[in-house]
Parts: sequence; C-alpha cells; structure tokens
Amino acid sequence: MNDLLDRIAVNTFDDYDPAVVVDAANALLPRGKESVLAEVEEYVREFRPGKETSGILWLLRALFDVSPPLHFPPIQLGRLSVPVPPDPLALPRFPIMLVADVPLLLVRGYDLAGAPQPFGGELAFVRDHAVFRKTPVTPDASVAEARFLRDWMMAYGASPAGDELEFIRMQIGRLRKSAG
Amino acid sequence: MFAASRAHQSLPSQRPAGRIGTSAFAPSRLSAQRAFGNRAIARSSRGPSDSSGFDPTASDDQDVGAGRTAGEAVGDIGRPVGSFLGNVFGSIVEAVAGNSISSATTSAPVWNPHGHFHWEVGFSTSGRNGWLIQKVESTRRAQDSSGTALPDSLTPLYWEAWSVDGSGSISPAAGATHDFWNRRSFGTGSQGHWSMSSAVYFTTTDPATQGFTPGGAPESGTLPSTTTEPSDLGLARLHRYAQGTWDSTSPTPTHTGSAGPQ
Repeated sequence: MNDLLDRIAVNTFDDYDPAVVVDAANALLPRGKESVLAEVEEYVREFRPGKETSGILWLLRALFDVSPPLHFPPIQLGRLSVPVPPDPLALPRFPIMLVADVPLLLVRGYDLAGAPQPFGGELAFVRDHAVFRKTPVTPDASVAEARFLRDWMMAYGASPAGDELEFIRMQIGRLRKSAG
Repeated sequence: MFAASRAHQSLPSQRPAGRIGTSAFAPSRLSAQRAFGNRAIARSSRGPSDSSGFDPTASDDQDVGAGRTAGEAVGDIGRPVGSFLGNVFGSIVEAVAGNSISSATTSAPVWNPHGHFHWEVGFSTSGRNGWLIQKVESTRRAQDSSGTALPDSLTPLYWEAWSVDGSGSISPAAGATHDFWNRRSFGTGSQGHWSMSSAVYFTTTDPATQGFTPGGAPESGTLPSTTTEPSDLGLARLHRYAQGTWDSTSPTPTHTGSAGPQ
C-alpha cells in the first residue's frame, strides 16, 4: 500500500499523469472507504521534509464523490496557478476536473511563503461528507479534451489560455500512452 | 547561503566585474564575497553580457544576458548583501533589546525546471507569548518564448503570523518546519526571473487586531495574513531571500539561483 501511495504522492503538477490516478483508484476500490482512509491517514501522519504529497489530494478528489450543495473544500497550499471558479459547484472537485472519467489536474503549481494546509481537514471532510466511488474508473481519452473545454467554459465563462490547454493535452497524451 | 544550477547548464567563465561593479558596487561585492563565497558572486554577475549587466545606461527591463534584466541583476546582488547586513544589524539589536529570531533549513532549496522552486525552514526565537510576523516581498517576470508576459497574480507584499507560546514553541508547524517557500512552474516554453525576500519580527500585539485574517494573502497558505502594513513591528531580527532565473525555451531547461541564510 505504501508503495502505491508513494507513487501517488508525487504524481502532481508538471509530471501529473491521470493514468496513475486511474490505476491507483481502481486498485483501492475493493478495499472500501474506511480502509483506504485509514491507510492514507497513516501515510500522511508523519511529516517528511521536502517530500511532495499533494498527489494524495488529487487521488481523494477522484476516488470520492460529493453532491450539491457540497463541493470539496478549497485547497490551501498557497496561491494556485488557476483560481477556484466563481461558482465552486461548477467544478466541485477543483483543482481536479473529472471528464469522461479522466481525472485532469487544472493547476500547474502554487506559490507559497507560509504554511500549507495539513491533511487533517481534507480527510475529515472526506470521511464526513464524501461518498466512496462505487464503480471502477474507465477513462475515455477520446472525448476528454472536448469535455474539458465545455466544462471550463461553463466554469469560467471564457476559453482556457493556450498554456493551460497545452497542459491538459499533455495529461491526455500521457493517459493515451499508458492505455496504448 | 545556497546556490544552485541545473547540472545540464554550462556556466560561462567569470569575467571581471562591470563598470558599476568596479566602482560604486565594489565594497558591497567584497562584503558579499566574504559572507557568501565566490560562487554567489559569480552566479550574480556572470554571463557573456556581464559588463552590460552593470551598465548604468541599461534600462531596468532590458535583458542584459543570463536571462535577467539590468534591474533584476542588480537586485540579485543586493538581496544577499541586504539580508546579510540586515541580520548583522538584527543581531546587534537582539543584544540590546533581546528577542532573537533565527532560522534553520529543514529541506534544502531546490531550483527545478520551468521556474519551480522549493525550500523549507524552521524558526526559533527567544521571544515568548507573542507572534512572529514575517514581511514577504516577491517579484516575478514570466514570459513565453516570444517574450509575451504570462498571466501571473502573485501578491507582491504581505505580512503573515505564527504564534509563539510561553515555552517558545511556534505554531503552526509541520515537524520542525514552519515556513515553506514555493514558486510554481510555468511549464515548457517559459522563461523568467523571480525573487523573494523576507523580514521577521517578534511582537506581543495580537495580529487579529491588526487586520490579519486566514487567506488575507493566498500565498500565506493557512497562516493569518494581511496586505496592509501592521503598526509597531519594531526592528526585524531575521532577513532571508531567494531568487532564480529560468529558461525553458530550449530543449535543455535551466534554472539557477541562490538563497540564504541557512
């Protein structure tokens, strides 16, 4: 389990690969909500200086569902490269966007000079309010870009910047490569 | 003092200091050389256009080589020197007025491709039952390969707070780390320069009465923060800085910089 979480923890930002999340989510599904949360909690309990762990957040937001009026709480890592949409319910998993079962990461990174959020709040929210996914993740990369553009437009009222779209295309490309 | 470069970048040989560096900047360069070593100075002033980097006729936003403008090159030299002198002054103030503040690196600074940077430090203080207030100043120029500015909404100046209890324990903390400095990636095809500098104060005035709120500046993460200068901070006891220049417009991205003190 720790090997799996080690891979997930560093799956983030420039190196983010949706296929890693898909594989991990499908591997964890049979374990059930409480078991997965207990193991994640144990994994993040010990702080490791310099160790990237934000990939765990993206996994949780792909593996669990929330229903309106709830949405996942804001990420407090610092200033994210893409802001939360004006209506957070437009992208309830932000900064993850799940389109055609493809978990896309919308942010390239964050700027911080201070203290990032501890995992406790995220885990408490998931435990109390989120529903464990019931079916395996079956991504369809062929429609992911079109649905990303549609959902982005609905959330922000404008098309994504060129570098943002390129960032998403890289992720879809990695998913295709893994599937191929 | 930390200095780093990506291993795949060939470093131009150091040239003699340019016109300003050999005159008005000479004492500062000597002080910095004593304090931080030759590598920091080489990094701050190297490059094929080194002499033009200190050309007083160059405008602040003109690229003077090594991916920096004249203003950025001067700032990159001034930041380490200013931090060093500020900490010397801070130690004198401590001797007279007490309440020392120091920092120790818990995860060494790293300059990753595309402008990404990360550094973690822990604080310690002789102050009790109060707060550490850190003033953070940031700059960044991010561009695409054609020189067009990339969207960026970095908060240029803010103040943030940690609490200090009666035993000197500082909160919040993650292990021995209190302060995380992170600059984000701008991806392939980007280029630019960034800088951060901070001054840390000890106060017994509750930040909540000074307009500090969680998320006051998003870059503070979960800390109470504000973009309005608090009153009565006194003199800073600790100064820190970090800076970097990156170029990801070629197949071999580069990102060089320095940070300190340790």
